[in-house]
Amino acid sequence: MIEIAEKEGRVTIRLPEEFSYQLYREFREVYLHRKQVSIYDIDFALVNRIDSSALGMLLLMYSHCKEQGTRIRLLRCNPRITKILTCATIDSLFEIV
Amino acid sequence: MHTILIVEDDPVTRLFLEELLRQEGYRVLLAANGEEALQRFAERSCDLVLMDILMPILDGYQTCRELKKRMMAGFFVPVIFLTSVQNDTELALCLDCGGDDFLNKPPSPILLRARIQAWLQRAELANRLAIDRLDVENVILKMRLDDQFDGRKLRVLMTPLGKTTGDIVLSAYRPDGVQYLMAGDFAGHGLAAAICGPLVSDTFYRLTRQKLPLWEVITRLNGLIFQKLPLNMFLAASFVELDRVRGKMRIWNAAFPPVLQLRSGRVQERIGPSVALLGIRPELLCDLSSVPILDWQEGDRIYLYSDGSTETRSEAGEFFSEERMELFLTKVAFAGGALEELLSILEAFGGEQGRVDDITLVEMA
Repeated sequence: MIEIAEKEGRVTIRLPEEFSYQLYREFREVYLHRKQVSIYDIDFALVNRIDSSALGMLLLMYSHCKEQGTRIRLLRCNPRITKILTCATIDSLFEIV
Repeated sequence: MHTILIVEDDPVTRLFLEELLRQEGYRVLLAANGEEALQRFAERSCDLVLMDILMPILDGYQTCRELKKRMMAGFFVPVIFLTSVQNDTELALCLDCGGDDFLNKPPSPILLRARIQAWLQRAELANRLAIDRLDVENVILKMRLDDQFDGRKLRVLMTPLGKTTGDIVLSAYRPDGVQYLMAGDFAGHGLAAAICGPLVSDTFYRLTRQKLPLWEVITRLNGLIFQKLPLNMFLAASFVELDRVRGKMRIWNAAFPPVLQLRSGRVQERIGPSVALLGIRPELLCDLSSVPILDWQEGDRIYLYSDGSTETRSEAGEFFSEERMELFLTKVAFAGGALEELLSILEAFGGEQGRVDDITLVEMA
């Protein structure tokens, strides 16, 4: 389950332990119709497993937010996850904090 | 016209149901007990089953379990229990054994009619999807037959979780004898991932025939995937260009697990990812033509594997990992042995729940 906190145009998306295709719909619904967001913070603190569908989900979000001019930051990735993101060269599309 | 199988040992109830359903325009099949039901089910196809619970020989629960087992994979025939039981535990059993719904006995004709209609509609939808899926699967399988895969000097292990896989292995020889090898993994698995295979393999083989350098093939594949497929469908892959005559080789790794070169039981080279995932950007933003040229000797073994194996997890949550994979491959390269041994190792490591992805392993000699 994804947890969402919203405050003054900043939306924090807290991901569960496993970020995979099972979250496809839930993840998409977070940003698809949300208005007046200036920044999305995706919190990876709990995540220790990520699959290729999840990378795809991030890419779809990236392209959606690019059109809207919304920033996306990936927060608190553990070294394993950072390695996967870097490996996929997805890190260059997002701000990794 | 829909066919409904009535499984009921009491002749009076059976007759009542039969009359009611015939009036509704259904074709009716009859069985007086579970065993007969299984027989009818094997002889004729039916769209829905009405099932009594208390019957001699096989009871309704057992019969339902058996029926569901015998249904064609992916297809759906609803089973509605007719029950005079009021006890919650027993009612829950109706669903537990694979049943879809239950109605009190004797059922009111209005309610029975409505439930049957609702379940038939749902089943039709599910079965139409199942048929579409089979069709697409057959298209993909047929396209793959057309493959120009050249397996000389290769051993390949591929175990898709379903009939279709997102993993892909391509190999071809240029007219001058240089071998091109690619092992890749499309995002996701199952059908959506599998439809990407033919697109990539067609281009790979055509460009190899045209003697394009492999880095150029990779650049074109990236553009092709970016252009033709949605953004969340991309390819992680490794590529090997091997010239055995000159003893030279080049390796490109696009977001794939490390490619290993083993020599006399030792890891000679470990080539990690340096190229972006293919298909997420129109350009690759790096100079593919400048990867180092490695030397290659007779007896060397090159290994490419997808992350299905390293991502296998033990019950304690530990990953199989690249280290364990290297250990296994070193053993295979040095002492020989079948690639298939990996499967039993992974099974022992991860147990039933461990495997979540397709597994692909290629050895190049």
